[in-house]
Amino acid sequence: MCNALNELPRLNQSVQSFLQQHEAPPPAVFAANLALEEMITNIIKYGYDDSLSHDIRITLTREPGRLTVRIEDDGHEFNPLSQPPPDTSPQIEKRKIGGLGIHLVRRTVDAMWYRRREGRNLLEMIIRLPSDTEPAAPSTSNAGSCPGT
Amino acid sequence: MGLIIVQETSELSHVALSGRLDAPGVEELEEEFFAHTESRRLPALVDMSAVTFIASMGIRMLIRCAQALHHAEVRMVLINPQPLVKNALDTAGITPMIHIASDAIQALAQLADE
Repeated sequence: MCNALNELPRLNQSVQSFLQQHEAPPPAVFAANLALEEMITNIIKYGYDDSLSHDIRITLTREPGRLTVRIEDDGHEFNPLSQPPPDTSPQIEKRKIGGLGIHLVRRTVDAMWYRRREGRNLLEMIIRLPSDTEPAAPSTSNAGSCPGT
Repeated sequence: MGLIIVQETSELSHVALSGRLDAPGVEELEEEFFAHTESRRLPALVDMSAVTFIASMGIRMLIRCAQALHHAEVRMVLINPQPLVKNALDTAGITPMIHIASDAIQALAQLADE
């Protein structure tokens, strides 16, 4: 997909379609949606200083016992695993609003890996699935590429 | 994301949200949501039962509204979020500071306890 917020609804539809096709349980659907929403929004908002189109590659893979969400982009180097936790103060008047997105994803998915390679951020998130919903064979879906990149 | 005005009186704001509280959804309806809650500076009930998904943008919208109403010395109560939405609210640390009720009657009772 391209680095534009108006691409998010199209991405959401593709993800929903893939997860429905593979009968992913609701908690996994929620987790995948959250992971993509938060990480992609961050990339679009903060990953680039220019106004050019950039390709963000998204891959979902359904394997026995797990759903893998991979995001690859050429934005600024950014490791979500190194971000400090946000303020979750219970006192409403003192509560700061920022930093929730990555926190939500880290607490929702079952594992995350990050590496920087050849000028690209590579992020992989694993969502465990119940074993009784295993597919016959691994299945992968790639979000469409960004034209003009 | 959708917004329905359930009730609007001189003492209470009651709205119902539906759909996805994600970045596009919040952008679409945030101003209207604030106009019917935060800006009225009255106790507010927000029915979440038809919200199917919430991300940080949606949670921020709720926090901002609750903070503004707190400054006005009134409260906001969320009504009946779906389990996965409730989990996200718990993970974000919302539930200690914004009350959640199972229905409007319980929500009104919580506001009356103030």
